Amino acid sequence: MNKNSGEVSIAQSVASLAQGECAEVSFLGGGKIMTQRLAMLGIRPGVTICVLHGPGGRGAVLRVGGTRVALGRGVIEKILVNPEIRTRPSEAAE
Amino acid sequence: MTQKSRLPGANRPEKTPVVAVAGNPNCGKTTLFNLLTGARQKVGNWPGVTVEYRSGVANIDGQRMSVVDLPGVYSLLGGGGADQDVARTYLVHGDADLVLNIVDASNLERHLAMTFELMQVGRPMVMVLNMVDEAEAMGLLPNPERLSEALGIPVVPMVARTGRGQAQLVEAITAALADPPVVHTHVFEPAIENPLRGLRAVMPGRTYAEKRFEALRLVEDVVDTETPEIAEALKNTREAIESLTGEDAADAVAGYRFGWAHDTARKGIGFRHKHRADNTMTERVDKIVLSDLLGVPIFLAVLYSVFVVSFSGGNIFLDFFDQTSATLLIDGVGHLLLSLGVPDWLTAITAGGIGGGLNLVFTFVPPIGLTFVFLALLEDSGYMARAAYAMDRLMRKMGLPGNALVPMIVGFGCNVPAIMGSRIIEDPRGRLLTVLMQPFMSCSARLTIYMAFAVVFFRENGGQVVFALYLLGIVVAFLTAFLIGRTAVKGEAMPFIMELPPYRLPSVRNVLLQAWQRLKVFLLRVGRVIAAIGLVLFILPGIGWTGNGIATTDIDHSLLAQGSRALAPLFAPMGVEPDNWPAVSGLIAGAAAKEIVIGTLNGIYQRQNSEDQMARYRDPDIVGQLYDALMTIPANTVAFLSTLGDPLGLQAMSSNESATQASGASNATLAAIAAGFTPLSAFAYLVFVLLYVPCASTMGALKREVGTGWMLFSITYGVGLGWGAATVIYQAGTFAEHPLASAGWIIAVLAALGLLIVTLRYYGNRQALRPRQHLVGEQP
Amino acid sequence: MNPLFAVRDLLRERRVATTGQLATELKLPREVVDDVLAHWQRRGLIESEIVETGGGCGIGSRSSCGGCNGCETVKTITADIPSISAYRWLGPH
Repeated sequence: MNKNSGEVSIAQSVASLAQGECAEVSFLGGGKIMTQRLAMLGIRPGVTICVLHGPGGRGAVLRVGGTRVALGRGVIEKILVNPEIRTRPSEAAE
Repeated sequence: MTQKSRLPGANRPEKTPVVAVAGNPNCGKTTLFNLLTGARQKVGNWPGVTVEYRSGVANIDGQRMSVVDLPGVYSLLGGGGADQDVARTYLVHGDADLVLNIVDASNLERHLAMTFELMQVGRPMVMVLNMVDEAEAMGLLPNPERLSEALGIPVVPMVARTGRGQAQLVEAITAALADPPVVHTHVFEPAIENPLRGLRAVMPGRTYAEKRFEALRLVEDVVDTETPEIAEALKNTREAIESLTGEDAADAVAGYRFGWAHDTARKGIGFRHKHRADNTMTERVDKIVLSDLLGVPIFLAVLYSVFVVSFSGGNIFLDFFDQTSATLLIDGVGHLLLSLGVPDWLTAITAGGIGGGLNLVFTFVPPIGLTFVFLALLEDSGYMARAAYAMDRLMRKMGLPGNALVPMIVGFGCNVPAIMGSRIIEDPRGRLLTVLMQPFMSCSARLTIYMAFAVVFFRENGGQVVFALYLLGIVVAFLTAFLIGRTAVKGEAMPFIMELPPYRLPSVRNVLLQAWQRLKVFLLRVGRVIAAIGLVLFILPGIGWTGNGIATTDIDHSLLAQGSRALAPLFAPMGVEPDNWPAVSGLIAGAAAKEIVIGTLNGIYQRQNSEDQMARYRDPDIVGQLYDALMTIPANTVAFLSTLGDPLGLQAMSSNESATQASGASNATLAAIAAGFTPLSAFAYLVFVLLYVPCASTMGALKREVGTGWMLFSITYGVGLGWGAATVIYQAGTFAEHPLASAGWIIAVLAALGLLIVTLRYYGNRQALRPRQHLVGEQP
Repeated sequence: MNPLFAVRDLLRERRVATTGQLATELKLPREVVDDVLAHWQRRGLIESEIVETGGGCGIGSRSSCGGCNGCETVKTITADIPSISAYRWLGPH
């Protein structure tokens, strides 16, 4: 359980998670503006996010900390998550 | 630096207390400021709303006080840029009698770091523990009493957004001003506090707190000193702190602050086992509202209801506002001026021109105001963010953000609130495109013109013709966004990133305040333009160029007639006969407001002014007219209830009488229209009416939202497009009669369109070369 | 507990850690950990570092490129924004 973020094997994007799944963000793709806006809403590498709604053609609604964030399809494809730390906790799915 | 601190009320004649609002960004600081100062400030959460240093006047419990909104910063010490300098300078050197420290209860530990620094300043302080509702939703239990005990200052729990806790805050402010709470600046442990004393003694500064605060900044290593005496004392202080605490002095001081915030937060906030009733509700609603299948239909249904209620509901009061303002502003002012001995011509211009223009503004207050109320309601309840997400994919295909659909639907009622409502779009490029689309949405005023023409030319299929015009407007709007988005302002629609707030019952105060702010802008800015144009339109038909200069004439020889005749050949390609100059006058008047097109035609075609206004000014029946105005409300309510299913009023097309009534044209006018047009030229004329400049109010709104440059573009583009489309329609319809000329006109229009695209693309490429060009002009 | 020194001690022990890991382990709010890390970064004791996405190409299962080494998208992304992910201890152990 002692995870070392220095070695990440295969990164996946949020688009490949299922509804209800949680995972740790490992990398933010996309431009500087997008990265900044995501950071403002608390989506940064190292943070655990849970998929509340979607992912689908529209994108997905994520839970980050106590807030809900809606992201378009183009955005969730650029957020990479660490699949090893991917969990399916019952409380996050609600 | 010292000058800045003297900004608010520096030279007040008598001592008005000054309250400064300080806190981190995004903790409701601006909301609190607005709550205290009332409607004189703008509420909203546009990025960077509090970068300016602002102040207002509050009347709290009968006492006037000036309230200063400090820039939101995370720390006062240093390294935070201009915002931080302004806040620090003001707090240390300024004239605040009381500091309101607003903190986010759901994130207390972090916010307390700044509270610690504020306490160092030593000014009387009251803490506002904001967003307690959100903290509670997260399973936290804010405990203001224990927090107050730990801090030694009053703590007021609040939800500034809804105004909850306001009474308690007013009480706390009044009490604190009468009997200022003493703030303990000596909060450090002795291992830091004692060595600090030596440094403080050699610091320059007027007050004790000022010296102490500057000393701390030196120890924390955020500033340097060049004075040898201070450098020596700083070295001694640092060494003493290090030997006493075992840490670097800068770390020891910062560490104490972090530890203090951590401990204090634990006292002020209790935990509770995860309780998520709110979240489950929100998530359940979201499951439906955001679902792939229902998301779009639900949104369209919501907007349809907003549209119906705003415009049909607004119509209940429309006649009341129209007749009341006409009675008071036109007849009332006219009577007043005449009885004051003002000459007839001046009375006529003031009452008929300016008063008539203002009358037009007030007429539209009910539908526009109601639209603003519903938009604010949707925003405040948390639904607007969902709607944007639901529509995003569809709109993105046309290069627009998801929420661009909201203003478009509003635009069917009136283009002005639509353009102003485009502010809900954050991304400047998307906002510009959305604003430029609005003039093509067929507003309810244009319907009056369609009606009059439909009665004469399209009796059998009037509904279809009107529907086709609406559809054409939508298509042109989307094509415009597509065209400009691909050429002049290239770029992708911004990636969709938006926080979805929990659903909540909208606060009446917030909704009304927000709606009022927008309505006020409409009345003040847009009203001025309408009044001015109303004046011009009042004068033009009444005066003309005679042999010896400008003089009052009958309408046939007026400037309006002369100008219209001169312009008429321009409209020949779209089928307006040269001698049909009243049609051109209608278009000129229509540039001011579409509502008066039929009125203008009425006036001209009947060659008469319906009644002698002067007689009415001399002997007005103000009370009787006001009574009649009031009586329109119940009458319109009945009408509203019977047409709930038909907001566009298309049913009125079914019978000749009701359509005539709906258009407001007299039978004589209809006969004149029938003589002047053919069905084809009538349709071309209507297409032109649909596409060219919507009205003066819209121009005003455009100027305000996207700047003069884009307003001028929009006007030129609309007139050109309308002329081109009408010409193509007329020429294509009459192709057989003169194939060569028609082909020539059609080719010319298409060539002009091509030229426009090339020009826009050239402009776009030139803009792309400039670094960070602002798309939207500076907001006043 | 003192958050400033607790974060420092844990990071010294771990050498590298993300904000999320530190916050979870110390049961501190993320924002506070961010502020603490900013302090230590200013003091020159830690540095932020970019987490390599490894050999895998990022855009999940829907990635259009087959081989991972030839994945242009991730290369551009990586070159474009150095995304801060973890913090590395620089001071003495």
